[in-house]
Amino acid sequence: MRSQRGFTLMEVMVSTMATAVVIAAASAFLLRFLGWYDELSSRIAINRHARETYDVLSLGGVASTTGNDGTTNVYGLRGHFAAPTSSMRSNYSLRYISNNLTLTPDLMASMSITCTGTATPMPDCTSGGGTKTVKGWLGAAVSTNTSSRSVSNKTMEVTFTIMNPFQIQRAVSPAVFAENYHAIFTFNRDENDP
Amino acid sequence: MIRRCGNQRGGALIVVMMVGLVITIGLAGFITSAVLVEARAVEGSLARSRAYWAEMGNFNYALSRISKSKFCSSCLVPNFNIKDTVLATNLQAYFNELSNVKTWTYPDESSSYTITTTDTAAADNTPGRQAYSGWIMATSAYSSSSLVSGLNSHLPIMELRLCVGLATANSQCGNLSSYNGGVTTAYFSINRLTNLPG
Repeated sequence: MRSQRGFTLMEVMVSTMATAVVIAAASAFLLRFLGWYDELSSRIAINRHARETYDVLSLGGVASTTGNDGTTNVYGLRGHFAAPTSSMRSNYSLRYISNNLTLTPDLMASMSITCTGTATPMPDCTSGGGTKTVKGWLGAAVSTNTSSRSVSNKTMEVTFTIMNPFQIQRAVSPAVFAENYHAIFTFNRDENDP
Repeated sequence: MIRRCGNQRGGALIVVMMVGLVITIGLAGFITSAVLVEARAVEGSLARSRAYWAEMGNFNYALSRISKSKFCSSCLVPNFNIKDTVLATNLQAYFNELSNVKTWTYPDESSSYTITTTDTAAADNTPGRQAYSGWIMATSAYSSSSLVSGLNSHLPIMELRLCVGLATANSQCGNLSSYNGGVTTAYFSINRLTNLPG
């Protein structure tokens, strides 16, 4: 019968305390792990969208209708004569125009994100910037530079920012969910762009 | 022998094991769904870059040969009234000079990781081309090892359209449907550089 005796109050209290300490530590680690998971998976998604942006900007694509030169070619920057004049972003989504054809390869369902401060939560937010309609992953306007760090009329530096719109609006540190990318493209075309 | 029940407490261990199990399942799912896919995508992107620059290297070599040899004008006498098809034959000869360096190997990846480029020159195939327009074209294709063959449809097949026999370096192409002399000079103008859909 001695083997069936219960626990003393002190034993129960000590074991409860020990268990609480272990649960607290494990919970903290689990929460931190979930944070790492979000950051890592977001970084992977950001890199994936950056690759897609690079591909479209450099190589272009093919449209379903014909453009100014009678083809369906949407010429990438490497097949251009000069820098595109139209904006490459619309509602935070990539929009690439060439040969009078438009590619919007990275659209997603529309969402609204409210700016709460400078660069918060999105990189291009200003203080009191209001609510933005977001349909893509481009966190800031695509900037082009054909002068400094570029060979005039032959190359162009492109800078763009990819953000994770799903994570950035709820993150304590939104900057973790945005990344800047730079590239220099060469214009290989000698004739005027169609 | 008296055994104290206190030695048999395992409540904390169960909690730790449960947390460990959750983390392990999460990590396994993460690695499977994201990291491996990402690794494959990065490999694909790398292969695309390699294929693009290999093909662009071929184009740049041929264009450089045009500038240097003026389409072998000493071989084409007289150097006017030369058909586009003949110009294309000469362009093809420049590409063929690269026959020994058209296979790119990457031993740091694998001894069997290769990308082989093939370039085909022809007269421009746009309907309505005049036989002496000076418009020619080149298309790159490639074959790859089994390590990158799954990416075949994603590698950038390039197409180059240019007009040759121009009077100066800054001259632009004459009309494709017009007689432009069929001459051979060092000057050309790239009218189009496209990656064809795979």
